[in-house]
Amino acid sequence: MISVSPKFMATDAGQLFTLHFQPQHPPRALIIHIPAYGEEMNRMRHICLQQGEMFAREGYYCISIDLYGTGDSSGELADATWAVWKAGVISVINSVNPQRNLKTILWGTRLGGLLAADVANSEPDDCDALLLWQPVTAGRAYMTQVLRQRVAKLVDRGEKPETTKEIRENLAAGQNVEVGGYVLGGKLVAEIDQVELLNMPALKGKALHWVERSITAGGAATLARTRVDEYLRASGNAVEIVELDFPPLWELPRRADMSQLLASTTALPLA
Amino acid sequence: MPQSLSLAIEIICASLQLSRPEVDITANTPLMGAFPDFNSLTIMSIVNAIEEQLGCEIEDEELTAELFESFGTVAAFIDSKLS
Repeated sequence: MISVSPKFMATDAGQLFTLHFQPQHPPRALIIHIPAYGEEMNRMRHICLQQGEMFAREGYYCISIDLYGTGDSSGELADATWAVWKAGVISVINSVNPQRNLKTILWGTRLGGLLAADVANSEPDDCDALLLWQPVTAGRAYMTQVLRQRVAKLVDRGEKPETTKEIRENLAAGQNVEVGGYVLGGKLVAEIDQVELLNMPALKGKALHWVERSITAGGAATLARTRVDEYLRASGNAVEIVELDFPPLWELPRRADMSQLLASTTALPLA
Repeated sequence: MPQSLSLAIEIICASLQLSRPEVDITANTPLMGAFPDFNSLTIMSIVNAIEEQLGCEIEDEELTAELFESFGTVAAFIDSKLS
């Protein structure tokens, strides 16, 4: 029998809400789940819960974290920073695995994948392997997509649309900006803009398990992923790519069958 | 079929939730105004998908009505991003 229990953990990034999926026997490794951003997180939550349970049944101790200012954790998103998010993840690892007796796998979904990689890059000793689900590879391009939601909303309302450049200027001037129901602060956006998977030298040698949805016929890799893949392999990383045909669950308002994604992820040799 | 047109069709059909075998698409197939569901959210979805597929960033200034005239104009845009 596995156990699933919610806990508020006191961390360097405030009280963070965490869900603990614990195996029946002493765990074979620790998996820390870092979720996606905004609505993507909400849409992926149920599938991540299922994955956490499956990991626990395979003997892993999995902890899913709500980052500062998101989900049920303390703080406001407008006050969140990338550095605070990273500090929260590291605090949780320090708390549950202080002696580093357990291998630690950082499992990041979408923007959480970029954050996981950045934590591993900053604190290489805190991460033995990365599991990335459709990770964001370039923070700036991703935030532009997020900010475009505001532009599209203004267009649909018939209001004068701002450009993403103007939104960034407003953020840089200290304004908070509401995008898709979430109030963003300038510091977080500016920090995310700077983060790129192609610029993480300390990932050298880490095992990466990269699960990606294929939208092109025949399952061809995206050019974006191919570029990052080449960079990581050239840096000496063992990169395992899993191309699967599954719906874009981070965009879906309703649940879809993700059994292939769950089964393929559970079967990965993470530890 | 050129790779860029094939990719444009894949991305646009996914964004409009069209089943490819049900529609016969060429470079001349019109886009904006031809599909009732084609709106600003569709444009956002197409632009995001192109960025994710190519690993590029598309500036606001590049998003013009002409770009979304037909499947062929989107394919030509993808070509310009690949070069």
